[in-house]
Amino acid sequence: MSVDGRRISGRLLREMIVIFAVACALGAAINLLHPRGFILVNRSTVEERSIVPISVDEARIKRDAGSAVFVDARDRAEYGFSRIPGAVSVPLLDLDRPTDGAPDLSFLDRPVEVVIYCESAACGAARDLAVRIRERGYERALYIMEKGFTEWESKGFPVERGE
Amino acid sequence: MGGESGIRRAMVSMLYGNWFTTAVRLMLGGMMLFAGLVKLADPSLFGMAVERYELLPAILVPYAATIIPALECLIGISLVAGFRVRASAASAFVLMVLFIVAVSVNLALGRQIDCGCFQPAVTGLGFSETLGPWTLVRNLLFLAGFALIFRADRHLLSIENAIEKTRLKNLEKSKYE
Repeated sequence: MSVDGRRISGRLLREMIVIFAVACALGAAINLLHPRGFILVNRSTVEERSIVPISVDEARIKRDAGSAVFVDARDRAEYGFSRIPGAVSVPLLDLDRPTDGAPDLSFLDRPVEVVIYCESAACGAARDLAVRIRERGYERALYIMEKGFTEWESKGFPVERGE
Repeated sequence: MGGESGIRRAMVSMLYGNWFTTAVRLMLGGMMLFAGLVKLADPSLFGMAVERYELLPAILVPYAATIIPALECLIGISLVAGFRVRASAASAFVLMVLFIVAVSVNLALGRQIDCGCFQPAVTGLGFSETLGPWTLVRNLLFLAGFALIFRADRHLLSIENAIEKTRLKNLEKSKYE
């Protein structure tokens, strides 16, 4: 009986697994064809949704409204030469320094939107910095100025120069 | 004493599988099929319901919301048709245990959320069910029903029963083939 019982319970388990597998396939197929189905994406896509690219003009609006803090992801020399007025310098390379020279990230706790920029559209520093800030547990949206400082400057928007 | 033996006979007949267990099987199967179909009608709505329970990480919600309705439909169909009854009753039992855990956790935390059990918005029945002790009691009743179906050996009005009948009828023939 016990041998027989075990054989039957093994069959039961197999049948349950088959039912579950068929349900998965069926559910996926229906979801694919359904007009209100889900788009199943990987984790990084979901996480990067809170990193929002904005145009230079949108960044300007945020600046004029006084609701945003600008973060300069370029290195210190570039920041020292010219920057958006009031921007905080957070060079990506300095982020790993233990204590001395580590950039001040206290602006993350203030109730302001964070707009990150680097030199141009091709520079990856702004996005990398956004990802790093996210990894530190920052949960609000992070804005990236898409075409960077060059575009800002060429539009004749305010720029601060020198030390 | 006569009454007691009558009750006992009824219990034994129920454990073996009689018209009562068949009725329970058809009703619960129909219920599962209905619940699955209304959820399939609008996956995003059911996804929001899963999200409301706040038990799954957001990334898993769409997967749960696509698999659960299909599983309910499949279990419902096989219970009503009477095919692979034991396996589907056991699957339904597991599913029901998951539901009961989800409901209990949210009740214990005192959350007043919409159940999402039968998607009233889709059927247009115009009632919305807030999670309450009744939800739990109902799920426990369903659980008992599935246990009863699982325990029964014979299922009237089922494909399995028809196959078994045919097999027994042709036993003599097949023996010599």
